[in-house]
Amino acid sequence: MGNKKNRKFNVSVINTVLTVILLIAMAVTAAVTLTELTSSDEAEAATVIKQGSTGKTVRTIQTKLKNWGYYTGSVDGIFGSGTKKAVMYFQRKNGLPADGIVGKKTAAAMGISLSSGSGATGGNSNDEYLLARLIYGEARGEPYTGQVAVAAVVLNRVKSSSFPNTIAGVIYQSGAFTAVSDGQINLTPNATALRAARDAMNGWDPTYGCLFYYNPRTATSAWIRSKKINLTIGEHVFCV
Amino acid sequence: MSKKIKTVLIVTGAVLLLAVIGLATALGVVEKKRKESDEKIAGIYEKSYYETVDSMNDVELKLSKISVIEGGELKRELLMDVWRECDVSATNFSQLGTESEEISKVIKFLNQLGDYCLFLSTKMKTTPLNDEEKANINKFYDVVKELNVTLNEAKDNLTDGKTVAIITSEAVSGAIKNHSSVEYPEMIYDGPFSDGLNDRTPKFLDGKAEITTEEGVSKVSEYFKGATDIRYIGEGTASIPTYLYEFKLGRNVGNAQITKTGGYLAMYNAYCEINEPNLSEEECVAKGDEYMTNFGFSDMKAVWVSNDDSTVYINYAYCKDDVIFYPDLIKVKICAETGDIIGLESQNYLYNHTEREVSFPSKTIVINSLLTVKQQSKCVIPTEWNAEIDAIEVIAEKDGTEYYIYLNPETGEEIKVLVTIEESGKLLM
Repeated sequence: MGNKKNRKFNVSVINTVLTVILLIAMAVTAAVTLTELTSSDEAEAATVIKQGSTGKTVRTIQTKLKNWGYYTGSVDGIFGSGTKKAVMYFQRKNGLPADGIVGKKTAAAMGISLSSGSGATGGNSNDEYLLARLIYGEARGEPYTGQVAVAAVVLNRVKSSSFPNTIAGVIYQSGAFTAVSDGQINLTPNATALRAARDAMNGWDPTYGCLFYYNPRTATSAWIRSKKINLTIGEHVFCV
Repeated sequence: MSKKIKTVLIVTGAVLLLAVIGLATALGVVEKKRKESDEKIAGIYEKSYYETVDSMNDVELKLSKISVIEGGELKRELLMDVWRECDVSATNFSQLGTESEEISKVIKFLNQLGDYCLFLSTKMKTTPLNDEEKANINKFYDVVKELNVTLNEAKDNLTDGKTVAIITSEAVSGAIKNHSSVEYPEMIYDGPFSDGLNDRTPKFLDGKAEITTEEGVSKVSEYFKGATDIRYIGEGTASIPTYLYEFKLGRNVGNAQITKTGGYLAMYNAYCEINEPNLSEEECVAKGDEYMTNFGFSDMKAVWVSNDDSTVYINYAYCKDDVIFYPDLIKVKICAETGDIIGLESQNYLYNHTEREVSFPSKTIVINSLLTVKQQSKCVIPTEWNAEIDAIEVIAEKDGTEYYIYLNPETGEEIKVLVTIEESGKLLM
C-alpha cells in the first residue's frame, strides 16, 4: 500500500519536474533562436534624442521642460539623468510611454521636430561625442587632466604619420583601445568626459604629443614599457 | 512494469529528445550566425587588402611617371595624386585588422610620403624641384616597388583558400617582415608628419633660468591667488620640460604644469560645473586679460572668443605695432559663473615667441565685392610646414556668415579662408 502511494507520489513529482525541464528547454531554445535572429535587425537609424545626446536640440528640450516645470537642472545641452527624469515625467503626464527617450511622438507632443540634421550630433560634434565615449570608457575614474590627456593621445595619433588620419579610424583601429574591445566605449559619457573631449578638440594637450599611454600596474607588454615616458597623470603613464 | 511507469518513461524520452533537438537547433543557429559574421569580417579585411594593392599600384605608377618627366603642371598634378593615393593606402592598411608594428611602419611611411609630395607640389608653384628632392622621389619609388612585391606575395597566401580574417593581416605583416630590404627613410623636412618635429625647442624659454620644484610651488601661488593644498605630483619630460602640481582653487581641483626653465605656466586644467552664468563674454575677456598679465605674458590680445555653455574659450595672440602674431597663441578657458580661470594652454607661445621684425608693403587689398569688410589687420600666420608667413587678415561678412580671409601682402593673392560656424559655441573651419 505504502509503496503504491510512494510510487504515485514519485510519478507525479517526476511528471512535474519533466514538464518544468521541457518548458525551460523550450524557453531557452526559443530565446536563443530569437536573440540570434533579431539581434542584427535591431540597429535602427531613426533619429532620437536620449541620454548622452548633446547639442542644440537637447537645449531646446531642456528649455521647454524647464518652462513647463518638468525640469529643474541647468540648460546645458547635455542629456543627462536629470533631463531623462524630466522627459519621463513629461511623458507620464502626457499619456506617452515613459521611456525617457525623445522620439517622434514625444517630440511632437513638445512641439519640436527631429528632422535629421537638427539631431543629437552633427558634423564636428559627432567626432567629439565619439571621443567623449572613449574617454568615459577608458579613463572615467581619472583626474580631469588625465581625461583630457587620453583624448589628446587620440588626436595626436590622428596627426601622427604612424596612425590612421581620422578620429574614428584611430579609435577603432584593431586592438588600439581596451574600451573598444570590451564594449565600455558604448556606455553613455558624463558631462566631465564631454568637456574633456571638447578641451582636447580645442587644442589642449597635457601630454605634449604623446601617442601611447598605459597603466603601469596592469600593462604587461615589454614593447610599450620601452617607450619614452613624458609624464604620469593619475593611473596612466603617457609616452611617445 | 506498470502502465504508469511506462508512460513516465515515454514522456521522459520524448522530453529529452525534444530538449536535445531544441538545443541542437539553437546551437546550430548560433554557429551559423558566428560563421556568417566571421565571413563578413574576413570580407571586410580582404576588401581592404585588395584596395590597398590597387592604391599602392597607383602610387607606384604615379611615382614612376614623376621620375621621368621634367616639371611643370603635370608633375604637380601627379604629386597631388600620389598624396591622395597614399592617404587611401594608409587608411586601407590600418583596416587590415592587425596591431603589428610592421604595418604601422608602412602606414607611417605612406603618410609621410604623401605629405612630402603635397609639400613638393605646393612648393613647385614658385620653385622647381632641386636635385636632392628629385633623388628623394626616386628613392621612395624604389621603396614602393619593393613594398608592392611583398604585398603581392601575401596574395598567394590568401588564394590558398584560407579566408579567415586573421590570415589577411598575418599574410601582409609577415610578408613585410620578411622583406627586410625595405628601409623606410626618415623624413627630415619640416612637415606636419616629419620626424624633426619631436626635437623642437621652446624659443621663448631659451636662455631663461631653471627653477626648483619649491620655486615652482611659489609660482603656483603667485599665478593662482587663493590656491590651497598645492602638491607637487611629478615631472613632465617632453620637449617642454615641466613640473606638475595639483591644488585646490575655489570649488575646483586644478592641475598645472610650470616650465622648469623660466617658471612659466605651460598648461592648466580644471573641471568646473557651471550653474548660472554671472559674467558676460566681455567681462570674461577682461578677466582673461588680467590673468595674462599676472602670468607674465605681455602684449597679448584676445583674437577669438567662443562661449560654450557658459565656459568661455578665449584665444590670445601676441600683438605688437598692430601686427597680430598668430603662431604665438595662448588658449584660455574662463568660467562665466565665477570668473575663475579653468584652463590655459601656452604651448604654441612657448615654442614660437621671439621678438621679430616684420614689414608690410602699402598695397591696396581687393576682395570679392559680395563681401562686407568688418575689419582688416596685418598679421603673421603659421603654415602647415611650421614656418610663418606675413598676411593681411580681412574679417568680412556675406548673408550673415562671417569669413576670415588671409591674403599675401605682396601680391594680394588669397592664401587661406576660414568660415565661422555657430554650433555649441563658435568654430572656425
